[in-house]
Amino acid sequence: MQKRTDICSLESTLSLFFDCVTKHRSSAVIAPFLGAMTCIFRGQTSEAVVPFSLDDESITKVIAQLKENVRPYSPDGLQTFNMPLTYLLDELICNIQQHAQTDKGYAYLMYNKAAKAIEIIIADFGITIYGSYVAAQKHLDKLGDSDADALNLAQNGYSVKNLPDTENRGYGISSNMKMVVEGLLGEFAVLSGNALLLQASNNRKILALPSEIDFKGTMVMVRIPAQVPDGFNLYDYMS
Amino acid sequence: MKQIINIQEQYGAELHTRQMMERLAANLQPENEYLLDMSGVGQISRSAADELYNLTHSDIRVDLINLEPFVEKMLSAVTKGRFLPRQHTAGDMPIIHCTTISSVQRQLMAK
Repeated sequence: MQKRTDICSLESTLSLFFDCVTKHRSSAVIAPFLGAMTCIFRGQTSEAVVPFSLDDESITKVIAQLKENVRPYSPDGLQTFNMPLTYLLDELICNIQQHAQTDKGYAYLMYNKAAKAIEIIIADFGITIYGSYVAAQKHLDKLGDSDADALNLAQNGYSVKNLPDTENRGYGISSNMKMVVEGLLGEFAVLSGNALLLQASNNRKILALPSEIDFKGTMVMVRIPAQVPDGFNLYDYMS
Repeated sequence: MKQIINIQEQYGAELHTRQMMERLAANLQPENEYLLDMSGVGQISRSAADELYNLTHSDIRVDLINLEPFVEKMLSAVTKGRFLPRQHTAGDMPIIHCTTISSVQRQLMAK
């Protein structure tokens, strides 16, 4: 496998992000990924933040549009990245469709030239991950009363679904995180309510955030080096 | 005689949503037999594959033909997912309670 690319860490971006949203700084002067996160947090849109409806046509269109944003920068025109990227976008967007109880999502996918990385945000203003467990009345015994507990359940594969009508594998967050962090050598974060899950190579934790941070929805943030590592096999992460 | 439906022509080369497959199912009649020609469909989401599994295990007689490798793998993963017991192999993550923004920032920078 290739050595992990030294990219600007998601942790430092998140640190600036929390600084921005709590001190109400303008997002106009900050880096695009950070600016997009801040826009979404504040319920704003920008040129790069694309709102989408959750019908088939809109989802197909937004996934195609997002991939076109990065195709020119991919070393092989997205040939090797197309499948893992589409797999990831499908999973994140389908999670909104199936769990968030909202009619709209927000997407950002751009290539960061300086970091040589693809940056992705998929977000919604739905019922949060905690809210989806409560709405489904699932795992309430393990849920506790916090967004942090809900994120912990979700990353550990606890499903809100019931067999036999659907595959009972939950949000798929753990397999997506594994693919992003171990397979693609990237970083993965989820902000839901007032909890933040962070998974990077050297950092794996959930932060229960102070009360002034409360995102009314779920925002997944991913940063992936633009080059697919040698030896990466998507099928290893589909089980 | 089995009716052949070209999925790529009707739904595109990438099947993203569960609803897409539900629409397909809604258009099929139990008294007929169908061959779903999957040639040219290179990508399918887990949700769409899950719904396709439901369709192939319903009262409607449906066979899939010309599966691309990725689609075949995804259907196989979904089928296994139906029968394997729930796995919680990721384990718990440490939960750290932060009461101030500066404590959040310290945690984010801590290695």
